[in-house]
Amino acid sequence: MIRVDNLHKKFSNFEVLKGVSLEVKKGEVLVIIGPSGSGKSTILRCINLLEEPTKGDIYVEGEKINDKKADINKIRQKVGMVFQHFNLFPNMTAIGNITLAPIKVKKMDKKTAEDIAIRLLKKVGLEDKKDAYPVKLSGGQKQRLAIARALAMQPDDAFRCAHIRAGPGDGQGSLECHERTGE
Amino acid sequence: MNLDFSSMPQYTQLFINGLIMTIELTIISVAIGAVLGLIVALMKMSSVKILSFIGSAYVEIIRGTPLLVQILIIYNGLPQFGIKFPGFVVGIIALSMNSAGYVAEIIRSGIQAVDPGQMEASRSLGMSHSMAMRYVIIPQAIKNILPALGNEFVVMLKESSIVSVIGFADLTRQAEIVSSVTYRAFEPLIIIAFIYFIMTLVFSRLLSKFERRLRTGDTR
Ligand SMILES: Nc1ncnc2c1ncn2[C@@H]1O[C@H](COP(=O)(O)OP(=O)(O)OP(=O)(O)O)[C@@H](O)[C@H]1O
Ligand SMILES: [Mg+2]
Repeated sequence: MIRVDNLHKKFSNFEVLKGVSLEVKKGEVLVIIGPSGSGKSTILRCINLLEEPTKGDIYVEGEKINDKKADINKIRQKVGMVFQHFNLFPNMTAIGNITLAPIKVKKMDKKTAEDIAIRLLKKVGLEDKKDAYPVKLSGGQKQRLAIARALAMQPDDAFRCAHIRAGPGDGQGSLECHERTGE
Repeated sequence: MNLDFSSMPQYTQLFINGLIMTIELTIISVAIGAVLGLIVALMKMSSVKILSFIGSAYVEIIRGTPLLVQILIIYNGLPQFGIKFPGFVVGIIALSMNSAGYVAEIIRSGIQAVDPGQMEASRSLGMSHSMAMRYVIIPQAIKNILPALGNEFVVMLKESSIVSVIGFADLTRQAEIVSSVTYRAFEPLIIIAFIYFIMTLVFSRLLSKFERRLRTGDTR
């Protein structure tokens, strides 16, 4: 469960978020829609503490994350994030992108991590691209790989926050922040 | 105009000795400079204010003063305080310290040229800052750093000739020696100019080949 309470974010003098509150329960899907530049990505970045909130509280599974004592690396493992620009690792294959964090952070053995990765790749329909480098993927394929990479860290009980890019000419970005269990 | 190279061949060994010294000095200096430079770069990028100040100051001072002056300070200046090194050591110290200043900037800019999104993606997956550095950022930064480091080697190959002023027996110094025994200035200088030119040409070519391979490696 994610709860955001009166979230404010200021970039120097520019106030982007002026008291955003939201709550997403397990299994719920939340879509935030707003004009480009209105602060949708900023909300998500705050939930991942990639931006420090100016004011307000953020709770993940009841634990306040914007707190000096919070173990941010642990919390981030629970909050998957798919970036607007995907930020795939260009020097690694699709499967390498997915397995890096499980192997290094969760100390999973390579075989297990790869099994999980293959399963995720199947799910997002990229099984045949497992050895492809990100440059060789289309935009949509990159996005699906980014989703698989985020999911690989929490195979049983996971939050996901994903940017779904606006279609061409749409003019408005839309965003999904949802929570899922397991498969 | 009287150009006469006939007396030169008998000094072939001197030129070869000088050439070896120049290459040795360059390799040692760039190697030490790379290690020192890495330390300086890490200091400069550190979030600890005092370290970052020392790192930045080092780079600014080294890059803001002439190499010749740096060498003379170590060779002529320090003995005034009882610190005296033989010419060979002074050459290595001065060139290494100088190289470190430039290498630090090469490393820093190579790391900072990596898309900040890479760090964010790594952190969002739960990696610590140092894990992200080690597994994601540095491997990508190396591709920016290596070619520039090779370039630094080529530059140092030429710049090292300056150590001849403190009697370091490098290629340039050997030309001066040959010149003093043959009373011919132009010929030995032309010979070493040619040697320097061939060396830098060969290394530059090898470098750009290597660089192309690094780059194609990126779009596998
Ligand atoms: N690091 C930053 N420094 C200063 N301003 C920033 C920074 N990051 C974002 N902004 C500003 O904050 C505002 C919100 O940005 P954000 O990325 O959240 O928009 P968005 O709603 O996701 O837009 P889009 O639909 O185009 O993705 C924008 O006006 C942007 O210029
Ligand atoms: Mg956005």
